[in-house]
Amino acid sequence: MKMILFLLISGFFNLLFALHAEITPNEIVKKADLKRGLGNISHSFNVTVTDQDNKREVFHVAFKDVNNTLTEQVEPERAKGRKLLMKDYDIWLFTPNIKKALRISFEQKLTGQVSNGDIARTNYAEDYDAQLQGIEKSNHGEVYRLELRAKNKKVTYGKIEYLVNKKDFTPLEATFYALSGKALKHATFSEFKMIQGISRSTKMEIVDNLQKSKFSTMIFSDHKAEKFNESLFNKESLEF
Amino acid sequence: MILPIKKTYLLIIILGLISQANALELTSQRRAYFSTKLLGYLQDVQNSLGQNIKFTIEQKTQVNDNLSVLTQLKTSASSLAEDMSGKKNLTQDDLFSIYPGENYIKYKSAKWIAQVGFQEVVWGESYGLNYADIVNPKDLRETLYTDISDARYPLLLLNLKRFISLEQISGSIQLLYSPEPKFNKSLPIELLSKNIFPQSSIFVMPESRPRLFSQNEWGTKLSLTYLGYDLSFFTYKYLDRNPTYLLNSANANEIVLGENHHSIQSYGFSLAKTLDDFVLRSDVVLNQNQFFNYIDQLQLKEFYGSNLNALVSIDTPTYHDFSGALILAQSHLSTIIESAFRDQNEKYAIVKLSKSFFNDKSFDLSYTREFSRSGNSIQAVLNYPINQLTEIKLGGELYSGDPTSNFYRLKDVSNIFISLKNYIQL
Repeated sequence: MKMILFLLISGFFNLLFALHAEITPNEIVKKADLKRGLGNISHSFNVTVTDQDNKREVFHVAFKDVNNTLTEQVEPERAKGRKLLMKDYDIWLFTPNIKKALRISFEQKLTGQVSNGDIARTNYAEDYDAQLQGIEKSNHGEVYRLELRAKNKKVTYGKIEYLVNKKDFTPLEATFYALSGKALKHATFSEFKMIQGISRSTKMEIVDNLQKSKFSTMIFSDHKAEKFNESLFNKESLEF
Repeated sequence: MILPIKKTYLLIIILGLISQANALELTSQRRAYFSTKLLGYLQDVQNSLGQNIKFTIEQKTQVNDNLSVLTQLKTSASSLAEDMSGKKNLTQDDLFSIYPGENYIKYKSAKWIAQVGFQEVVWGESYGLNYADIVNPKDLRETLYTDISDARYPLLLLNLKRFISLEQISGSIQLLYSPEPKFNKSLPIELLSKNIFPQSSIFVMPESRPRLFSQNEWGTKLSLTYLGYDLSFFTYKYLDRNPTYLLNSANANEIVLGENHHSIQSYGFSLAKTLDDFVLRSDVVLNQNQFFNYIDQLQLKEFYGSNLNALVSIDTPTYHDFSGALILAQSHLSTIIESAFRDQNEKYAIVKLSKSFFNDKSFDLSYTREFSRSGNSIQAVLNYPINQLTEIKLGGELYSGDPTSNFYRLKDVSNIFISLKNYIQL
């Protein structure tokens, strides 16, 4: 009887290890995505961006799902009311002085080192195919080194080199590359806090790859589950 | 003014009181901005320095989840008309004006939006040169490079919009109705017609603005986003915002012109599409039965025809903090008469370059080439925010070219400037 119990328990753990061992690179990215946001839950949050000169900008983000995000600038006063709507792979900017929504590209800089896509389109699993490059040892223990390739040319970056903690799928670092292959910037994820039952990163520091003195820090806060009308994510409602 | 001035002020006071009264109980936001611009003219004009001062104050009040009220009051003081040589018949409105900005009541539901009151409605996909921006009148004294939101005059409108969402298609249908047209404010006619009537002073008798409900304007727009394309189709029937002129009287020293604003109907189409990191934009607008002036045996006369305006532009991606745009535009008249005030084909190319630095500062350079009569204009601006509330601009704009070109006529406006815009939290 003891032998059967032993076999059952060891079989169970073997199965667990096997499952863990066979986790696909894309699943690793999916799990890491959940540590950087609330996943595909309809919610809102604030992003505070500060740069190397301590200039501060604040954005309020309405996140309906991975394909519908509305970002509105709250600070500074002179930029208040700017809106950025992301719907699937389309993105529009509304500025109060132009008074109409203009189509733009994800690559355009929103502020400092932060591109539009860094706020509006953050689910890497949705946009990139992952390949495991290896498992490395670091200060954080064992980490997955992943290479994420853009699924299409519409996404923010051509390639991302991504380090994810093997133990708990915590995202650690990312290097972003343009479609041309040029390294653009490097990001680190930190300040993990319990939000809606999961430990999630609330700080992302982005450093320019060429000029290391140029950086932006994004602080994510005030996450709230919230339902939104479909029309909020219609380009035609931005002016209202 | 589109309303008698007392009525306009009454409207502002009423809306202001409603907003203020509601603000005691309801969410409201108040803000204002003050901007001042000092110009140094590069040509020999009456005054070597000019100024332009604007003040806007607004309050947004949220009555409930669906209903909100915007109240806005604007003042503007511009010395441009006085500064330009030969200007004698100035009115108070040429120098200083106080007028309602956007003042409307908005009802917003999940599928509908209805706005009633003074509003700005902007159509088209392009910027820099926007042929499709046909609804609101503008202050054309603001020159080519002014922030267009400062130059646009709100129009009394009923504005209904129904959102569309059908699987991969999203968009809207919009209906506009205005019971009272309003016209552009132009640069002094002497400035534009200097080479036509060189020896005479010109006085313009403005066409009185139509009474409320005596002239109605209608329009509709269908907007669709599908498979990465933004498309819109629109039409608007209205009184031409620009006047044509007929001679009222003339003597050896003085010419008196009367203004006419004819009814026209515009049909338009706009498109925008992202191509990798480039953005393609296009606006095409057909103005039917638009009137223009010509001179026949020293008599000022009018003719009309269809005017097709088409524009295509491409925005480049950002590379090392540089970005740019190329805009090609053409205006074509179906018929032309010799000695008309414009050419049958007017072609323009605009190149815009922008370099951002220190995160929030930028240097913008625009060059516009007028092909048909070899005109040039160039503007350089340094945008320099100094804190959360204040931004400074330093720059200059230059107009030159063949004496018959449109840009040469603006050469007296060439200037260098410094401007300061301050946002005020209330």
